[in-house]
Amino acid sequence: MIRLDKLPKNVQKSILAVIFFFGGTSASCRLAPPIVCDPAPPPSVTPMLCDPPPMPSSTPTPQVALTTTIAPGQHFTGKIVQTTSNPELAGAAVEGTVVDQYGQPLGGLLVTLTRDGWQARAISDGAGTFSFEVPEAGTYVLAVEGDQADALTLELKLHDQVTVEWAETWDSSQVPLPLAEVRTVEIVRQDRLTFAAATPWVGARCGWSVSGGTLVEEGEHVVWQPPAKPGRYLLQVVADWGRTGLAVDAVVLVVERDGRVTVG
Amino acid sequence: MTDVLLVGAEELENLATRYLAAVLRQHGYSVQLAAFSTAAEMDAVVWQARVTRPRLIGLSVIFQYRAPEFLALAASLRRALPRAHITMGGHFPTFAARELLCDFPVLDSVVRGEGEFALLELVQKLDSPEVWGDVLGLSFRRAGEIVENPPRPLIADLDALPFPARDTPPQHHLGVGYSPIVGSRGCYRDCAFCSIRSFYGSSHGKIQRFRSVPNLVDEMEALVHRFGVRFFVFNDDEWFPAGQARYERVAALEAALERRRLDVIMSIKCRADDVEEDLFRRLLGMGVVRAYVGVESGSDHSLQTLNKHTTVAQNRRALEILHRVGMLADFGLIIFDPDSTVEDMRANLDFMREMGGTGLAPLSFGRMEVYAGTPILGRLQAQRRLAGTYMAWNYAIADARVEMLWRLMIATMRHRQYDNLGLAKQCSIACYELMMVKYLHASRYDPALGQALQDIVARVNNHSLAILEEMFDLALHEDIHNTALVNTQAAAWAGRINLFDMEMEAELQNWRERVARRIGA
Repeated sequence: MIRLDKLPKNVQKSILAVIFFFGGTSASCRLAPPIVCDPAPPPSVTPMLCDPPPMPSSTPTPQVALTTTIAPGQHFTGKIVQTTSNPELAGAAVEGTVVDQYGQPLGGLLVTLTRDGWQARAISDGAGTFSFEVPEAGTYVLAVEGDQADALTLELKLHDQVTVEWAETWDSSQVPLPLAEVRTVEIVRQDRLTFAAATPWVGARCGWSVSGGTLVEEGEHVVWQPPAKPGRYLLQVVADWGRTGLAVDAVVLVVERDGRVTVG
Repeated sequence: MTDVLLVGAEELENLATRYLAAVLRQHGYSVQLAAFSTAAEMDAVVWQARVTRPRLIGLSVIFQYRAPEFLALAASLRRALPRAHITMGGHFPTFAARELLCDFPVLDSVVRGEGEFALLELVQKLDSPEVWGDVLGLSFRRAGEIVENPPRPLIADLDALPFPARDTPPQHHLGVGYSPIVGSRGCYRDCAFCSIRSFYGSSHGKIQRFRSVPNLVDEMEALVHRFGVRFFVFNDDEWFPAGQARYERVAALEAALERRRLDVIMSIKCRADDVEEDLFRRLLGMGVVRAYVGVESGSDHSLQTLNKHTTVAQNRRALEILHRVGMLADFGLIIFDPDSTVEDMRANLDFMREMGGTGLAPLSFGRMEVYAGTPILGRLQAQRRLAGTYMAWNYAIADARVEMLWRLMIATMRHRQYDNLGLAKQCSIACYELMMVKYLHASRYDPALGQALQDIVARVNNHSLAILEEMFDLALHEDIHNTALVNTQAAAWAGRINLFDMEMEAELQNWRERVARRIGA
């Protein structure tokens, strides 16, 4: 089991550097530096007379972005899909995808490429993709989540561009259930009508929807174009980490009679 | 400069820190209280500590899930005041004292069990660490080792405690001042998910103890006269003594309230097998307008797992009596536990529809969480079924289909069921408001308000039930290992829930505005 927060600080730092370098997330999810899953405080006029329901103790509040962990019985089988030559490469490149047993992308997995004590790391993003560039030809070993038993050996020549596919398999008695962790996502208002999704976990695919008006995706953000009709509209984001988890957040957007927009 | 700064959650007046403060002040020490209800208040607490420069800072941790926030606060306080003694107390620290002192050097000590006199003795001996070994109930670090002193005997006579230190006026809502209060400590039962019995049981003494009725009513009277409090929210672990003694205590309280002409309303917590019609009619007559009943389950099998010593028939009877009597019957359900079966789920869904379908009370349901000090923790540890750490244990429900249902529920209904601003909690608050209007603004009460709220609560309850039924159907009949299928469905349910909640929140707001207009607030 690999957990980023259990790794030595210098390793954490380098992994986080890789996450940020590669973007690490799908187009519309970003890492949130602080903990974002604290419930909002109640308004001062509202009494807290209720008995609090038991909070799920499985709710983690990570201090750093977490990667997915490999579970007992979980394996990744890799294969080289194609090798092409790209003269623009100074060395060689490896790119690939990781998918689950149903062919769905797996984000947040740690992929390592090693050679004679040298190592590069990447985290698969929301589309399950990862990529490396290496400075020189040679024999490299590619592994997902340190699974050396199923590692793939790559003989890379200069200018090689190799595409790899990793498919997850399970020992039949240990197939896990989806939604393994309780995770959170939060809609953050960036500007007047510009919103982003913040979550401490990497590798989510974020899907946005709104009950009125239109949404325009701009990189990691969405911009809402409100309808002319006054009313309350719901903006929602679904952050999907595949089997590991799914989280939803929503905010109410109000179009007043005079056309002003407020976030409820 | 002050002697002691006590930090705790303040959603409702924190009686734990107020009892501690009262005892310390009684012995001449200066004490300030700091609110730490959410992590957002961390800077404010540190600022207060910098200004008051206490010699000792006490962190009162009631809920285990907030321990990480309190530990982060302790680290900030340590940076601000390197020489202050930082101690922690409450249920979770009592059971995890050794682990906390090992893992968090920022803590100097942990006060275990009832804290009033252990904390007092620690303050008295603060400059003499060589005698800390004499402070019963204290765990601390000495020369790199963790020292755990023997437990301190329970406070036998609760009347000997001073009244909690209420420095500020009580909170008000709808023009009504309300205060939390306790008339007892401890519980006579031993539910598998609860740590109350272990918390008190690790010390010598009788576990459930009661303040005398005159002492309790003295405090109520003082709050009525000093602050105009009209609503008392009893936070006792269990409001009643066992058996026939219930009747004697209620009769004594009724007589005392009448004698002193205290026109107040009250909310209590009790077990389902406490509820008898004659008793609760009498309670309503003396102002108890709301009872939170620990029903917990609509399945006899689950009630056995929870070790409730009650049956579904008793639960049903209790709620029916409360409805008949006209008392607000709030209840919580632990519909998921480590041994929940498909049959338990079916029984719970049916029970929820029967008891919540008409909107007499908002549905509150969740999973049995494994907290420190609970019997279920020991059992699951022995069975090697736990994941996580002492800070937050986790487990998987043995039946994968029920586990799937739990995962779907928490992924999609988290905001509605658990957040303070979620619809379930807001419905619960609205029910309180209705009680306030009905009994404290009686001349302006309109039964149509009650019917309108009941309709809203019924719609929310039935929406939750309809979604749970659909999830249950998926768990029973679909491939629950198919991530794409499960996640797609979960996203669709979450979307429907959020849209529905947006509409209902607007309706609830309209209802509140009607209430405000009615009472002229």
